[in-house]
Amino acid sequence: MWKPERCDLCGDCLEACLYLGYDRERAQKEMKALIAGKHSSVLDDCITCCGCNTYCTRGARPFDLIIHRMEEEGSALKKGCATALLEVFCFNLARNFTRKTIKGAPWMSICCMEYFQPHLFWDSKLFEGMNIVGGGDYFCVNGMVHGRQDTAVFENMPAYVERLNKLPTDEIVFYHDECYAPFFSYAKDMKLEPNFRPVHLLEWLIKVVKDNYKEVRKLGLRTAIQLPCSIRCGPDRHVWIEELFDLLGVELVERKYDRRNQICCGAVAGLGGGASEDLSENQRFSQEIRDKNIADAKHYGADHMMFLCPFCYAALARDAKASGIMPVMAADLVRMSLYGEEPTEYVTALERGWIQ
Amino acid sequence: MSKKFKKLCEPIAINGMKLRNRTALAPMSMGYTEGEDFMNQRVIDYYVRRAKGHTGLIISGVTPVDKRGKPIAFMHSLWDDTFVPGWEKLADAIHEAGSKLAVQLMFGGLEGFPIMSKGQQLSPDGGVWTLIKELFYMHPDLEKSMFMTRKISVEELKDIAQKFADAAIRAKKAGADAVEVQGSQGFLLEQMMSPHFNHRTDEYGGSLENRMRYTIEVIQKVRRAVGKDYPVLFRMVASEGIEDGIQLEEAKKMAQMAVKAGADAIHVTTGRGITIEGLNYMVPIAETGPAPVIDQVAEIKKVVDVPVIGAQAIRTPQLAEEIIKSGKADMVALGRTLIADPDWPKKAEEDRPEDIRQCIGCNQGCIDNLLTAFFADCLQNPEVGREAKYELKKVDSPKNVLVIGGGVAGLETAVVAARRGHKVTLCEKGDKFGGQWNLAAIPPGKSQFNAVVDWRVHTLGNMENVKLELNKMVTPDYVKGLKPDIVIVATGSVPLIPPIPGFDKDNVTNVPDTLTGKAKIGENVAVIGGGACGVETANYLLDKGKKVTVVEMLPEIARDEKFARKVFILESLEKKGAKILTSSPVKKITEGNELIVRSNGRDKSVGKFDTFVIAVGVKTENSITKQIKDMVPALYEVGDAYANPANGFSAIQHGALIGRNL
Repeated sequence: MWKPERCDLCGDCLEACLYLGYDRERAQKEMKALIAGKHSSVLDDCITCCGCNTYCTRGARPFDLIIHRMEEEGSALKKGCATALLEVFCFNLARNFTRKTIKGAPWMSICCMEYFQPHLFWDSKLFEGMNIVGGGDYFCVNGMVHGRQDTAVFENMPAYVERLNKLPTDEIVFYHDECYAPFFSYAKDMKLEPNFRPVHLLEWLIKVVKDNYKEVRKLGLRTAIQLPCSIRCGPDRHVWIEELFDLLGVELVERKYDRRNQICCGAVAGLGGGASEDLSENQRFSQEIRDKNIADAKHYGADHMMFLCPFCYAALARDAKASGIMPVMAADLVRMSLYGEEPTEYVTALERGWIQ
Repeated sequence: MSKKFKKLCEPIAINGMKLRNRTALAPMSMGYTEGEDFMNQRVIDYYVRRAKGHTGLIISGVTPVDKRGKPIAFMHSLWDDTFVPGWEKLADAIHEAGSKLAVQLMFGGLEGFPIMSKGQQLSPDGGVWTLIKELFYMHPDLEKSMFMTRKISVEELKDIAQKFADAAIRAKKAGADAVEVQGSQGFLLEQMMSPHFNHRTDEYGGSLENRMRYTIEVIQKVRRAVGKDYPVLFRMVASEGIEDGIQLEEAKKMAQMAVKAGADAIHVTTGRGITIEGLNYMVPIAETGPAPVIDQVAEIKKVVDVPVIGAQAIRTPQLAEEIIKSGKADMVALGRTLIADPDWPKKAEEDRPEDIRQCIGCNQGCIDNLLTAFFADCLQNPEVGREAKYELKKVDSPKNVLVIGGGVAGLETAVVAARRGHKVTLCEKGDKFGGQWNLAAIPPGKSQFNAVVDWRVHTLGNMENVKLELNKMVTPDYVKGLKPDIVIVATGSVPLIPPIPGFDKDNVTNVPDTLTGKAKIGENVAVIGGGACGVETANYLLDKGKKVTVVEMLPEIARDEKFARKVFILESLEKKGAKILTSSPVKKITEGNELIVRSNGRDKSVGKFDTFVIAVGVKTENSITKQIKDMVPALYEVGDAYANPANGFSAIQHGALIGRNL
């Protein structure tokens, strides 16, 4: 939620944006326009990466203002983005399921992640002993910000938290980073109290690896990371990533587009979060970002690229592979190390037709 | 060899391909491939399990002949030579099990996923993918921009026909015994044949001859490619169930033309594009009744002189025998029937039809999951798609297992445990097994649902290591006396009655009491809660001639019903005149039996009612756990009793898992 009282109109947020290219003066001018409810070029050009929320040192949450204004202006749901989002909503989210296992087992929410790799959660040894819930009832709707709106997110949040509260457990692991993030943003803003501790997938993976440390086969990989927009909310994921990589014998390849310089995976840009109404223009822009990302990882000598979000995976997997970089999800590294399983092929963006 | 089902179990030959009996696995896409869609062990296990159950002919699920014609993710494919080794492995395994393999070749056309091949999706007229059209009716601009297909050119038609032939050669090379050309289920060939889909003005549109031209070309090309001694089957529709679609009279002529073009057998089903209603027509739900198109199949059989395979909802060998004996068809294609019980043909051969686990036509595990989770499952058979992992293994040291509760979760756990060799005692407090599942079988047309409980009770009843007890309320003393090694708590759930003023009145009842006739129901009824349970109960009450109002808190009713069932139930309620109120949380029932709801920020009355049926859900009932958990070495809760009450599908899946872990 936008916190106007914390904004001193310094312009840091928009000046730091990696896509807009504003100088300080322009940044301040556009920010003023946004606050005054006037049209700003930000509303056309923002790719909804959420970065400005972290560039603002005063915690004013400028991104929340931008999304709110986009919706007010009616620029919500650009075509390509809406299509992909709705495709997910209408199919995988229509399935609500609880896979129950043996009492005392951990609970995990996978939202619509079956969509990317239906068999993973049913076949991998890693998830064998878990209670798993998924489907529309466990969808936070957070992704709608990439559809340039947040009303739906606010409206859905109470039901989302309440359904999770009903699960008989005091800890819930979230497979997708984005399902975890709302507990540090929307749910928190709305003062919705979960009666469980949200557990990030990385935290849980670290625990699994430590519990089974005797089984660990050091992987000896050089792995770059491509983190999703949702990491802008909540604890710093890098701390966990470093710990997990240490345990698994994976070297974290630091590259140019990391941390503060992290750029979009290309999925959001390609889906219509891009600057143009013209989908092919967005696709071109998306390809540019993907090329930059992969070339960067290659330049710094990565042989693998790890993702926390299957949308990022879907966007980059094909190009990564073509450059000799193996795309993996965080859970894949643990599956490879502990159980000798192969990283599963997620359905790529190409397969889904989002990206040409 | 069977005495009861002589005709069904008789061998048959199709252009030299000798089949052990008259059963075929109907082509179904199960979604078991991954990533790049190569044949994998999971797919092979699924087909081979059906072959081991003595199915005569395994017809593979649709196999795209070209990437542009692939409708959904996860389909085994055959559009280039790299796929061949996988199919070789499958063919070998099926032959080893004594069956034959036919590869069904397909091109999606309008039913392809336009979003998966943007700008490439091809269809007779261009136009919008029909399923998407229904789902996205609220976003007409999306349809236009993203889901539009392109009208297929004559050159492209020729190219795709060649791809059918190329794929047929690959199938033959891989060791398959036959190919089947897919001309039904709303895919490209049906579209080209159908006046509903095809409005072309060139030589491929208009008259029957023109609409059939493409299909004939494809069959001829395939025939030329594989040679005259290789069986080529043709799957087609008897009708499309829509006014401007293919009708039976035309279908008869089409069948004759296909045979003339070189088809060795005609496989008849229905079709009409994958609309939600069309799905219901092509994959009929329980309410439709058994074998809805078999009389149309019989009409087609009269006009052709090659074997005819009849399909759709043939659930018992009795019916199959009757179909073949009376000459309505030469073979039966069993789809969901063989998902539910892969040993169906074997059991027919051994004259044990009562041992068959029948498909109930719920479409939950197969169709709904295929569309939402992209792989098929089965409510009746949790083993499907997990053949290797879920194969039942006998235990070394059998244990004494006490199952408390004879609902579907308890029954499934008991069946699995008993089959693995454990000694099982199953106690049910009521006078009938099945628990809440029995309620599901009460609404109109759903008697087929009884097969879930009947098969499990029948199976347990025939096992020596099982003791079944009805009217047995399990107490701590009973457990102490029995000294079981393992206790399964399968006590299910009880209706949730929220603390709302007036809900304690005498004319307020719950779903179980309504459906079992225990509660007295007045003329004018309010059903509070419009989920699956509420709407099915409303449907039942409407059939009893009651005036029904459904009151739902959320903006839509039947939220937890999916696709075909949802359309069916909503139509049914509308036809029978139910009144539906959404976004209306109930506030109270007044002394004068008025129902007050909150609507647009204020309380308002929605009228007076004689009876109120509460259908807002259930809560876990497992109070016995606390009383006995310290007395026994191991205790597992299963189904609704575990947590998060859900549906029968989830309960049976959980039972299947727990049973395998004992």
